[in-house]
Amino acid sequence: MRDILWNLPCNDFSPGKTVSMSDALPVLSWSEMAALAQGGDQEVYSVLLEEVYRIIEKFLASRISDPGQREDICQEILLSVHLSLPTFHPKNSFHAWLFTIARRRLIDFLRLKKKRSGEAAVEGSFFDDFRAPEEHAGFAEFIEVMSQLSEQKRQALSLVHLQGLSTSEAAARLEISETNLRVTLHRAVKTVKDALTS
Amino acid sequence: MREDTKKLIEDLAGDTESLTPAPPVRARFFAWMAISCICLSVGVVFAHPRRDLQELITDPMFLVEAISIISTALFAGLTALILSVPGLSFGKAKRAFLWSVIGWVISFTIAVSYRISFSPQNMQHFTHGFLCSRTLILFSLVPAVALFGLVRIASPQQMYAAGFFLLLSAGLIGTLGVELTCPSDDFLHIVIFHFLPPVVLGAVGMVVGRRFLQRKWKKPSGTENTER
Repeated sequence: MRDILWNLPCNDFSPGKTVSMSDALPVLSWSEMAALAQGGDQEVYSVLLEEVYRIIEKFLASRISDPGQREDICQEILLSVHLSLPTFHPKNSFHAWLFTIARRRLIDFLRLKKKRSGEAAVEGSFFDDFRAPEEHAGFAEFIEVMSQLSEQKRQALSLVHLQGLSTSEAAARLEISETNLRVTLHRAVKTVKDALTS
Repeated sequence: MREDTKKLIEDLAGDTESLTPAPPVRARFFAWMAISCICLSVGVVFAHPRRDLQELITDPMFLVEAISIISTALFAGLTALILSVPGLSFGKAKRAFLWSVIGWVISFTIAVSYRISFSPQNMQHFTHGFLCSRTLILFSLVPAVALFGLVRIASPQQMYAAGFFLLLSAGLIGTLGVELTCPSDDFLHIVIFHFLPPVVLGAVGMVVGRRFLQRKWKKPSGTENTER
């Protein structure tokens, strides 16, 4: 592996200069790193997995809002990458290979989430009233914040985000313009968000 | 990055022994074809070929039907193998899938129209149907197990689809075996007991694939024993 690194066209990397492995490795392409990992190079493989994690984290950031869930999917993807690495051929695109795995794991996760939310909805209808008071704490806080909002903001938030009306329907109901409603909504959401996070 | 993720990366990086490259799709496909050919030949010899087989193999309609079944089985098997390699799944698998569907429609249509044209509608043959289905399953057993192993040594990402094509192709090998051994020409018998079972097997394959094609990672021995 050292031979490969010496031959790379990188000015900062010469035998006379001390460079850490993680600094040096990014000059290798992902396909080369995967090939080295298949050959049993644990150090390269570790760096490759960290790179994969970094890319996948970005890929999931716009799709999954909850950081905890995002991390869980990242772990699932890392495991799948590990199990699938024997199928990777260095001549093929590592990106296509990686994102096929990532997409599949994401789809699996979303399916599972949908299934679970369905089960939870059914469960919730039976057991909502029997929950411990501390489980309602978040909701109580939300109600308190809502009560502090102005009448217009509260109604806008309630119509659009709780009752699920479209902005045009809600604007008609409140007898204000759609633009005005959007501004009111934006301010209301910001106020609630600030109050709940502080 | 969470601490458990860092730990996972360390653990995975420490397990490079299991990263030996898997055989390419082409090699696995030819291995499966060889196994299926051997099984089919041995099966036909053991189950006794139908008496009019010599006449039948000179009949162009029968030949077209047999070739369609073989090509559908091969394309379905190839699709299952392509689906076992991430990144290959899109273009190549779609093409192979398309061809397997076309092959299936051709073989089915030919079989039905060909039998209807001279079938005596002998319902007696219909009663032997379950025997045919059993023979079909026996014919497809070894090709199915072999293909399952060849798909699983790689890493299928779409387990439902891979399972479906896996058992569909094995079932079609069984259909060909039964076509060569069953003396019935009754078209209802052919449709229900020769052509329907591969589709049913394909549906079963979706469940089996989801359950058994997914590999789990075990930490290498000598470290803490965890399965994920």
